[in-house]
Amino acid sequence: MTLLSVGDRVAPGRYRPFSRFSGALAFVREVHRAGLGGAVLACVVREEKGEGPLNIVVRGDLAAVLSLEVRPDAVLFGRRLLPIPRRFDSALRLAGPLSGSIRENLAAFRGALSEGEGAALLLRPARALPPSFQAELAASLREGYDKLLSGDLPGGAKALKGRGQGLTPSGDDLLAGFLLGLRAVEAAFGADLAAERRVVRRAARSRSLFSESFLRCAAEGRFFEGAQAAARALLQGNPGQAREAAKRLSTFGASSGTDLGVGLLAALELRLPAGQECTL
Amino acid sequence: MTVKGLIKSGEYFDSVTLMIVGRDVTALKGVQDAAVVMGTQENKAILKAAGLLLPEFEKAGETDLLLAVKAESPETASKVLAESEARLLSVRSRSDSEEEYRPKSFEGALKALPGANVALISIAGRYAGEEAMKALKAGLHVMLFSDNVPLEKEVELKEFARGKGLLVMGPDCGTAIINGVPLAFANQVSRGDVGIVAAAGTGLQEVSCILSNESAGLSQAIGTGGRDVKKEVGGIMFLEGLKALLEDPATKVVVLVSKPPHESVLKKIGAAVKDSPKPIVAVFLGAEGKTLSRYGMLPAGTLEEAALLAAALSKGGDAKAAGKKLADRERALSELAVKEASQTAKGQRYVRGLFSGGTFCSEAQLVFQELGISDVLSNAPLAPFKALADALKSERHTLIDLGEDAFTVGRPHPMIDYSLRCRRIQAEAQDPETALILLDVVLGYGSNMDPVRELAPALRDARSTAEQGGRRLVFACSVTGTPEDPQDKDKVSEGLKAAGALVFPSNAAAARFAARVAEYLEGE
Repeated sequence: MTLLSVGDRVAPGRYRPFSRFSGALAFVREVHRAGLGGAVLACVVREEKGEGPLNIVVRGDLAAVLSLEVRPDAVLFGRRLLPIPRRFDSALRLAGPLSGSIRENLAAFRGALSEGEGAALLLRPARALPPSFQAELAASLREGYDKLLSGDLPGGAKALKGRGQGLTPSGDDLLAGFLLGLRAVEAAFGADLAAERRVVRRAARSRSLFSESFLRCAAEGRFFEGAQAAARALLQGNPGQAREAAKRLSTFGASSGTDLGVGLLAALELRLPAGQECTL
Repeated sequence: MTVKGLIKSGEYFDSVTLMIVGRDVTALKGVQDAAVVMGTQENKAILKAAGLLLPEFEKAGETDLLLAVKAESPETASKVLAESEARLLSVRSRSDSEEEYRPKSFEGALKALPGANVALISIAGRYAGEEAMKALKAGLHVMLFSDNVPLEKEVELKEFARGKGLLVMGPDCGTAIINGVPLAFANQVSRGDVGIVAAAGTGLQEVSCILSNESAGLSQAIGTGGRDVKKEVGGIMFLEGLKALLEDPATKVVVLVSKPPHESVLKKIGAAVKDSPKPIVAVFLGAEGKTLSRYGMLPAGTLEEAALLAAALSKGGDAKAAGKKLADRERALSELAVKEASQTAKGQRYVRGLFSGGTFCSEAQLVFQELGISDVLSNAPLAPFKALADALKSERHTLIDLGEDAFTVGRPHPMIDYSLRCRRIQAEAQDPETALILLDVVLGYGSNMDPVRELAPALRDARSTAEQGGRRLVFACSVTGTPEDPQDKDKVSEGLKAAGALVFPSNAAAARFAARVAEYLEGE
């Protein structure tokens, strides 16, 4: 097995196995009595899953990974000590000039996402559905999304939190994307949106280890490779690159990447400075 | 239209799996609507609005997976639910099998994990010895979960291991926690400085969980298998485990857990701990405290007392603190027993204990004996109690070990499969002489993942059966586990309370309560 990189939010310590997914193993460090707030997640993933703040990326057979200890400069799988070759920097940084076609980029990104799963339905015109779980879910997500777009961040975050399908519900992923969007606007335009980020984060706390871990990272401005690439493509790329970034993002999870992209778009629409407005 | 659902706790499926299954289920014939979602409050609100929220979903947590189906008939709903569950498992096993190498031999496993230093062996007893020897020869410690390993083979393995400085935990060893890793039936406990050597698996679980719940923790917990302390094996591994803990700088306090060892073995243990600078707490269920004190050990009468003593010593306190805690609790237990017993109907006279852990059945008998309750029968009796004529039928006060062979042939262990116990609860409820049903619920890895789901309806049915006969049944449960276990001790305790059970912090406490009820009823 080859260790390729370790995310910068993977905390040192001994972890215990938590759950197993296709191409990924989730480990958790001692859960404190206080509840999940004290739990720390780390994911050992195969390289095709990509780098992330909590990811330990490996090439090889995951079946051999039965235990995990992270040290400052090495990772211990069982008794096998592997030096960390690279730390993945998950902070969003926008180096270089901004794009002159941000509005077109957003439109291209939106178009590529809109046929997707989960929260992508929010990018399509609302339509009447026969009474069903899906209809109720769609209405509920739309209510939260509309509140976010109207500037009611606590109301929107509360309405979206924990809603939807998937291991991390769509609403949680959308809120992580919204936090990414706020960070992106701050990085690109020097705005201070810390108060807004705090409001969203406070309303979006989750008791699910997975949702809470990803939301915590997002609030701290830490994102996986594909999410960073999407923000860069929107603010510094061209429409083609934005479209490609959306497609790549939508391959993350069943709908998680798409949900995150929808949140990213919402934040940009709401907080893009004057002169850069877009119509979504 | 019928709505049915199920909760899957402690299991995580990736989003793609959830989506595939959700979609497939909705498309099945006879299904009007369906949802497969995590049990967040917000999702429950959506389920409610869609008419898919079932009463049992209210208690589900955010990490539980909820499956709900609205179908044209109850039969279709049940069928679809079963099918969805099977689909979840099949998607998971499909993705697992595509990517993971599952070794089929010891050699293959060692190749997959060349750095391993412990082999856990769970195969038919007649083959297990040979595999264990292979592991020992490769320099690995062995945990031998298998039972029915011939006695001579056990001795051979243990002597060989001792020569190489290795441990053989087992055969028939169900529990160990090594370097913080729970093996087989074990719990998620805190790390700390208390080391345990145990020839009783459930005993090890109870002591380690109470320690953890008392904010103390474990350095190592070494199981040996129950036969190790018999004359024929001579305590080889009990002594090796003890030696390891005495030499371990991370271990400050040692707890020894077993049924009474053979006299010759006890002498060897006594010699090993003599002059130990570390405190040694011994709970040899049924052994004389005086004998243990002579060897310099701190004797404990119950698993709980041993754990409390060790926790106090670990935190720099002394034995008195543990004694005071138990004495205070005793008063409260007695008062509660009087209150509950006085509400039973005339003719309700007996306690019926249905245990999944053999050690707990023994411990309960000792508690009854200590409190002078004599009219006790068991399928695994400790002197002076007598054997039941028929283990399937209770008489007078009955304490049953459901893990005995008569109950387990051809079915999973009662810690996993509750069906037999649930049926027995109903049978006891039909007996007009039953006043109290005493249960142990053991959590942790390997055990039943959702005990409340199985026990709660059984308790409610039993209560209802008794009430129809004008009687009031008392249910007393202990829950062995920690809040960090996959099942979450707190959640399970709350679920049992909601089903009408009195929940106690240990098996000893539940047994003392039951014995006090029996005492009251005898007086009546």
